[in-house]
Amino acid sequence: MSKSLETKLGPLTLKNPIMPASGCFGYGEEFAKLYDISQLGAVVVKATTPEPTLGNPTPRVAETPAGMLNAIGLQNPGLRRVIQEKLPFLADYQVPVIVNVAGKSIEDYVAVAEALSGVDVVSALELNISCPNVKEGGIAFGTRPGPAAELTRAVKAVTNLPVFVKLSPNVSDIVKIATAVEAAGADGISMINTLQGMAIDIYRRRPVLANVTGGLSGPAIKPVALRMIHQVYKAVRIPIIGMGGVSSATDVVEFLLAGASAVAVGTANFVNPYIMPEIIAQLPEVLEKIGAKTVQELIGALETN
Amino acid sequence: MRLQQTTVLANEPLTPDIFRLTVSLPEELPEPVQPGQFCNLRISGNSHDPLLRRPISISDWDRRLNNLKFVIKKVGRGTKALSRLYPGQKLDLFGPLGRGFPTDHLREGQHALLVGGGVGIPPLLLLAKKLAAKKVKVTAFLGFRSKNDAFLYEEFARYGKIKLTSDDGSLGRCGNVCSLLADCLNQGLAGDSIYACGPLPMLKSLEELAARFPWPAYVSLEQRMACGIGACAACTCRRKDPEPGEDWYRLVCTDGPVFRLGEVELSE
Repeated sequence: MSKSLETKLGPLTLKNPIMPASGCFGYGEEFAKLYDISQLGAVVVKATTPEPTLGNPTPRVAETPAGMLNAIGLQNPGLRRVIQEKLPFLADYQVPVIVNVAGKSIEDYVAVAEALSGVDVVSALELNISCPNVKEGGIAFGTRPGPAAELTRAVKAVTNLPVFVKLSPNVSDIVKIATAVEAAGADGISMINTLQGMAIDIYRRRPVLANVTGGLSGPAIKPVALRMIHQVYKAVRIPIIGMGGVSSATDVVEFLLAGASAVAVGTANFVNPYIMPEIIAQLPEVLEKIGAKTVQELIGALETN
Repeated sequence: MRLQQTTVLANEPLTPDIFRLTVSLPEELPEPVQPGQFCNLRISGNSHDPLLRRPISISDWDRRLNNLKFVIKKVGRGTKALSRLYPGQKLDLFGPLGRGFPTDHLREGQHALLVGGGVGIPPLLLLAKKLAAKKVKVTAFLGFRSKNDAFLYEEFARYGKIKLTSDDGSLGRCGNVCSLLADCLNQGLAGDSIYACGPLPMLKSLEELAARFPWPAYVSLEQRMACGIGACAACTCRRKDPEPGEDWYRLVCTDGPVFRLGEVELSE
């Protein structure tokens, strides 16, 4: 197989730069009924918390112009059942598995990271310090450089797995958070999580989402994601997994040029469930069209002067 | 389930805000359609707006002609865009999805009661067709806002008896469909299974009546969805009595949309 799509995320080598964004792909089982998920560069599963998390009341999603709001609230069956019931399924596929880790306290993140480090199928961790839809934890670590770095350091101390920190765009200076987690030992950065937003039903004079606010995703946020990745790429040396409204192979190239080493697809999976294999199939053609031989030569190759 | 580019064969208005799309499938469906299943529809093309698919229940399936029908109410931008489709246009269809109404337990000569309200009625039509083909007797209780808003009831009449209600009394009995059902039950109406789809207050009224009928009852629920295949956890509903250590929720898209009455909480 051609190596032109290959990319590296620290110690991980991916056969192509395409992976799902956490929360948009369950634990892989549903999409595995549609296509061979080992085609993907990596699989990123839903956030895992130490105990089962019930999530928010419904309605949990609302469509907005060229986007959607969600307020799922990290619903998951908890660490024990994720390890026993969800992750073994992925062992049958030749694909790196990245598990998103969430919690209310540093102890929560450390407990999940430590337990997952002993699970063979797990290739890397993604620290979710950016979920806008839970009241405690999550984004509380993601809006200030100090707590973000402290959490990263605490998790790095208990795991040998590569640790990616998933950043929130709902901050005044994302570069400060990025450089803080890099200094604390993060192996990479995932960005961006959703932008906080809301939708209103004028007839009921109520928010559409039961949670009032939710996280905006989809093509509407792509320009914000590109801008932030570009800014962070210039400031850090660790690799970036870029995401935010990606829905085509040309979008992927934009993210690579902005500085992403790999690209996650989120909302677009709901619009076209076959979007990721389609993008992977189309990438070589787009590379050729722009005169590129490899994915890696495009990473951060944006010219701005 | 399968993703297909279907072709619109017909788009007919049934009421001022309800229309019926007939689409032709390029490929055969891998499995027979179960009444109560839905498809995720999207107008073909790369437009980002509206973005998400619309989950729409199947109101008819013609296996020989390989076409599906959807009866849709114009509510928001997505359904309004669907209402403007004309014959020959492409419609991107993903489905069939979800679990439909179970019918294997019914035998020839038994009696099914169908209870539908408003835009919840369409999936019951395919159910009535299937039951009639099994020679199960069908009585359909159908509730509408008014005669002007009524649709499909003549088609139900092909498969069994119909009992109609309207909120303003312009068609059938004045009042809601569950109060008519309650009166019929009081007068000795008996069945072997109940199937319902309609607005939440209707389903709640049916649940209040549940003590009056011992037969299995099934309800089809609605919830805002994103993926339709169980991956995004948007369309959760609460189970009524989960055992400790079991999941506390069900997903409307893959565990439903049809549930046994009493299995899950009926709430928004």
